[in-house]
Amino acid sequence: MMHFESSPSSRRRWLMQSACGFGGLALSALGSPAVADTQSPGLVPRAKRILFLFMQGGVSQVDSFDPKPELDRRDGEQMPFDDARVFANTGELGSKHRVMRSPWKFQRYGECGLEVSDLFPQIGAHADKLCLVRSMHTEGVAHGPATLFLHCGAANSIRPSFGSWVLYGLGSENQDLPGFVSLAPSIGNGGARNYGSAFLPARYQGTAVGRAGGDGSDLVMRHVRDPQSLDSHRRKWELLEQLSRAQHEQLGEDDELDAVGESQALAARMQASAPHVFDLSEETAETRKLYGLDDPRTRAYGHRCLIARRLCESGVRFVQVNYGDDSANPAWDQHSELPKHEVHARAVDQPIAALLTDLERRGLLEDTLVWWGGEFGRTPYAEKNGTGRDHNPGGFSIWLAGGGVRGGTTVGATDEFGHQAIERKVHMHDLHATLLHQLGLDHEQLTYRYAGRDFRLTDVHGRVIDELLG
Amino acid sequence: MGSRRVSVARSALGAVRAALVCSLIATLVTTGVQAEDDGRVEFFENRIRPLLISRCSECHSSQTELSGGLGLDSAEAWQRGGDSGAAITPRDLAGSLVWRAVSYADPLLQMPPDGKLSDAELSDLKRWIEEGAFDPRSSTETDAEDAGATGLSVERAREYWSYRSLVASAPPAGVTMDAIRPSTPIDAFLEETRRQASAPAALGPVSRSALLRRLSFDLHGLPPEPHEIETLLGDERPDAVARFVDRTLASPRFAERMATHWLDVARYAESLTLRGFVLPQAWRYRDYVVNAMAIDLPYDQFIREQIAGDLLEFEDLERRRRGIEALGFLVLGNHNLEEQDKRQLEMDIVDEQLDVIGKALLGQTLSCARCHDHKFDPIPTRDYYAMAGILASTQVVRHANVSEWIERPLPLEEEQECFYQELEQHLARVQEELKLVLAESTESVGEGPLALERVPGIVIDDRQARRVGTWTESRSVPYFVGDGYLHDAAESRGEKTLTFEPRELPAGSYRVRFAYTHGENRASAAELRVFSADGEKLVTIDQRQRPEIDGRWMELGTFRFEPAGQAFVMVSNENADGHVIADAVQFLAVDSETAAVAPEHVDAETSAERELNAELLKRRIAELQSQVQQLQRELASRPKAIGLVERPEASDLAIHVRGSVHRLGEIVPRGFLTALPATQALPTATSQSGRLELAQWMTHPEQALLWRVIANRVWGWTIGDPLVRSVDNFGTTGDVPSHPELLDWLALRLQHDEGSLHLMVRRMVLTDVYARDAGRGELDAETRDPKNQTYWRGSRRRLDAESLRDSMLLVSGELDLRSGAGPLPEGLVSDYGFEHDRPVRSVYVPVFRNAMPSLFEAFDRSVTGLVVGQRDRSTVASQVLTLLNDPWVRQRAESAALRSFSDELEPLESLEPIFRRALGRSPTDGERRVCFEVIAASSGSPAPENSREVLERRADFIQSLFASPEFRFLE
Repeated sequence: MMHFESSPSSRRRWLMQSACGFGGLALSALGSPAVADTQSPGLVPRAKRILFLFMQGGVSQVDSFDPKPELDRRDGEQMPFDDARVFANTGELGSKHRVMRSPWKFQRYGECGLEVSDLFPQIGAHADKLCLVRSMHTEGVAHGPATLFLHCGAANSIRPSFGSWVLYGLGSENQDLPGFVSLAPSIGNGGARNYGSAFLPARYQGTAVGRAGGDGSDLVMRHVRDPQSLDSHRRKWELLEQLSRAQHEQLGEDDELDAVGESQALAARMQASAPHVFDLSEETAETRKLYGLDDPRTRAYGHRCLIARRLCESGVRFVQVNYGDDSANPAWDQHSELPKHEVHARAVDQPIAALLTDLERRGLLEDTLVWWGGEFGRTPYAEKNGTGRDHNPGGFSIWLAGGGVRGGTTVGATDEFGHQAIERKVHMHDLHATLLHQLGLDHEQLTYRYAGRDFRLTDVHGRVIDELLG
Repeated sequence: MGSRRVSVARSALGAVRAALVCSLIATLVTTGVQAEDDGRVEFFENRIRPLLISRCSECHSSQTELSGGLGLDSAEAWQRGGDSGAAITPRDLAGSLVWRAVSYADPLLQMPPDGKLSDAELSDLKRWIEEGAFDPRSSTETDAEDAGATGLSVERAREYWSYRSLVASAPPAGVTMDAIRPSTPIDAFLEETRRQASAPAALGPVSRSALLRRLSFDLHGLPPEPHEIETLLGDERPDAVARFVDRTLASPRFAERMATHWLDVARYAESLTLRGFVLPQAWRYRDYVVNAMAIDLPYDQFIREQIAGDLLEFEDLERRRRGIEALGFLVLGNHNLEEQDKRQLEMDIVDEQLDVIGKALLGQTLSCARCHDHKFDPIPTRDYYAMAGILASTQVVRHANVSEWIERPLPLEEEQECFYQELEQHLARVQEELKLVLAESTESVGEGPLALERVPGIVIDDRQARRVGTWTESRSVPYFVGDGYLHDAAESRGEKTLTFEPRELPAGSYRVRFAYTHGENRASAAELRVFSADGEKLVTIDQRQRPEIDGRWMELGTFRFEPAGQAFVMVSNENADGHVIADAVQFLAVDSETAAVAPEHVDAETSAERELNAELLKRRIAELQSQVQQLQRELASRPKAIGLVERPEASDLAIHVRGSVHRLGEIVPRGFLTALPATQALPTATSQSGRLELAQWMTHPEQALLWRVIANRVWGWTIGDPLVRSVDNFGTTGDVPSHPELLDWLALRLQHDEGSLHLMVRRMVLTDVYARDAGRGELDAETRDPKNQTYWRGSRRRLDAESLRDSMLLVSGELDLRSGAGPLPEGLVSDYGFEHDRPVRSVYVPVFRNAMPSLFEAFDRSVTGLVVGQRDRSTVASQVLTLLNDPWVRQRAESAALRSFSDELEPLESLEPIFRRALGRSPTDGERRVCFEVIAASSGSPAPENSREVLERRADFIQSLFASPEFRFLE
């Protein structure tokens, strides 16, 4: 037994109650490989892991994946809109705003003819792999609540993050690495809560590697490298080994102390193998170039994407690749000067396209579910009549690829301005339910008993969106 | 209707809907079934039934989930309706909630949630309702509504153990087993149960030295001092251990240890995750708890103060002060102050308070009753909102874009009180003079154009601003900055903006100023918005008045800007009643005092006399401004505590249907949990919130839950496994006590001992069960009682994060036991990247949600913001890696190496005191040998070039000792 908890009750009880017995649940987070085919009855897992490309701050849908000719026609007109922020602040509907056209042109890509703006030409080239959802809607008008909602399914209450639910449900495929890694997460807008485990046991929390704004050199797992000399390293391990053996006699024996011994053995293995996963020196020049490591504009995000691929290869269950920063108004948050979107698009377009190419050619895309998106979208009108766009939780786009989703399709639609989702609306809870479904997890069954109640990621909501699935 | 939350919300709607629901209920008589009209039957069967099945029944059918309590699969079901009342009123389209939902007219109520019905479907539904909503389907589920209500009712609450009164039982007398005679009443209770359950034989006691170590870590969180070991091992008096316990309880270390436990329960933290806001006064609550534990404040008083310390009557100043500090308990939640819907935020805060009060004090999951009656426990939603009304009548935050917490001035000695009052009066006088001088200065300075290069700080001229709409350049009033200024020609109101955005703005705090030229035809309230790290702030400026500073600038305020965060000022002509003028925006770094008051150079052509006069005024202004700053700083140093204040008028709350702040139901009078004894009346006056009464109700001796919960906690803190394993949940979904009579006996003892936790702890540690060995028992013991519910063996103790840290600091000789934490560093705004470098005890380490010491994170000291009655106890690889590779641990090992080895002592001799200090014993011969191999290179006379290696080897040895099991676990 790898881990020991003083109250293993909830999880074990849960396991006993679950008639089907989720095989993976019996195994520990850093422990044995999950048994991917013994999950919810009738649910065939189509993906083994999730790779989430988080576009922090909110990408504008009408400037990226949801073209609206109406914005060109009515550019500059003052019109009434039900603005979410105005509504939350004052209860007022139909406040007047100036329609603002997109500064970018849209092109058709792939056999499916998906329209993508000039912000993302390289992602566009993968159009036939993408399953685009244009009718997303979510909760929270401000970054903090919406970002927490995206990650934890709740805007204010303290809840486990998506990745920790997945790890809890499936365990990890790799003994020597954490099962849930968030690369370069922001400390703002919920910070560690976005990869925290809340009331799930602490071992399901995500491991943050690197920091927002880091250049790549920071992408090293904490504590797996000994900062001391090799001699020192060897001495410490040998002495620890000898002391432990002697002390076990002194302390007496029980399960808890057995677990300590095993955790030491595992630590030794992690230390030997984990640093290698974060080391890009084995990658070919071609691969490095593909991810844009030779270009200062794409290097930082390219580095993260390449590490992410290596983590996927190593069997990490949930990998989040963040693009953001530590400010309260992160990255894509163009309240002013919308054209700045271009800077961010240049930084991520090539690395993401490279990741899709690379995953596919290595056969990883089949069982890796890639999810691209932000915490909300942006308004199709100018904020306060200025030169940027405000937050818009009522309608925005995300896309999925790989992991058994239907490529080359578009689901749902927003209104003629791209403001509110109106057709086949997909709530964030629905997206969560669908992603879990692809992993073979029924979002209504994946529960944890805490304080007398069975909690789930989707609270009492969420529906699997079949149209997304291949 | 469906319970899916929607992203937008409107306050007025709740009231509208509440009224609507009432009228619907009143007018709801009958009935869809009006048979013998074939046209209607046909229309229903062809158009309506398929529509309801395809678009509604996935959520609104007794076969599926009855979302929002509503079924649409029979006439009875929609007549009865869901949480919001009847869903369809035949022939009344506007009065039918279903129509309201499907027509998407109400942003809070849009069904189906995944998209609007087609026009054809809408028109069918409209016709159906208008023609009387004929529905031949009858309900197959007789009692769908009550299907989910399986819980314990208020009336039957006493059938469950935890809701009953405390029962006094005498400890079983003369129980013996295995020839072991229980030496205390507690042991007698345990023996009785063990005998009845034919449980495994109890293990014997640990050695005297192991017991000493156990007591020291449990009660102090530190290893015993070597001299204590000597003293106790040499003390042959029968009450030697009791004497040691008494010394231990009297030490400040004990109060710190107890406070550590309570602060977990109180989900104590000093910052908010969101944006890392530091709560600069939170530490006073921590110190309050440490002090309460030190003086052994009676438990019921301790709780009363944390709920209503500001409302209790105290004679002396010290206690009044502590009463304010105690309020931290109610306000230290990890709130999302950025929430834009402020009613939502307020109710989320109330919910968090109820959650904490419930779990921490009563072992009740109150927040389960926010949306519906508690599914399992006797807590109706009415009770939830009755208590919520009390808390909502107290103000916890002041609203702004990012709402602000409240700091209350602490009561002071009269002399000090006078001092601060005088300061305030002085400040008022200085500000008055400043105003006059500024007015005078605007008459005499600032004429003529001012070149951009002469403006200090970062300045953006109007010519660099991004324009929306047509702005006219002008120079007609000649005292502008740069090349002139812009105006909107008083046309196209609400369609023109200017955005002043610096190309680059180094992170920090800035005073932001705006330049304009005033005049009669200007806007009297021009709208400016400053976008900073704290969101968006609207400032209006009367452009008919001369700008206050130099006749050019108006200060918009001081704002914080982050690296890569938003930083701009937007000028709009919305709502303007005259010309809107914009000339320039200036960002002045706050920390550069000189820049802020740098005198402006007046153009050469102004006369010498005017210049002199202006110069004098300027100097005076600078003086006064610095006085204002000085006075404000002094005033800010007045002691304050984070807290809350009674609202001027208390009010009852309406039930929030499904927990939504926008769906209000019946108003319920403030009150308490109706399943518990009604020992207290509430005030009827609206000037009182009822918080004081809540505190008194909860701490009444008849409130068995309060006393049971704390007795159980103290048992867990000392013995290990609590009697009720689910320490924060005494509801029906929690565990039942393994020893109910003992639990009640302890609770009653606590009352009898006047709430003394010291006595309770003493009682518990001076028992046989406390001293019991933690090893394996007889062969089948593990299978007969694997969870140790009969306490046949002792709990395996491990050092928690705090004890581990403090022990390392103690071994390294760095632990500072004299200091508390005191206030946080002045000016600390956010916790990001905070370095925890003070060697104070762990209880005084600032609890920063975004900056926990890595040792704490690795060893289960997480700050989730939830009540933590029992921490996780994980044993994972990352703990070993942290102990062996973390720089902080290495530093402790090096400090310990420097301190413990000296050139006078043979290295082998140095091992002895290190082992004694770290493990409380001498090294064995085997240990001597292996340790010596590691430090061997340090023997002989170390050459200077070797000294690095010598230190490294010694530190390696100590670090391995830190990582070894015996340092982390107790015998």
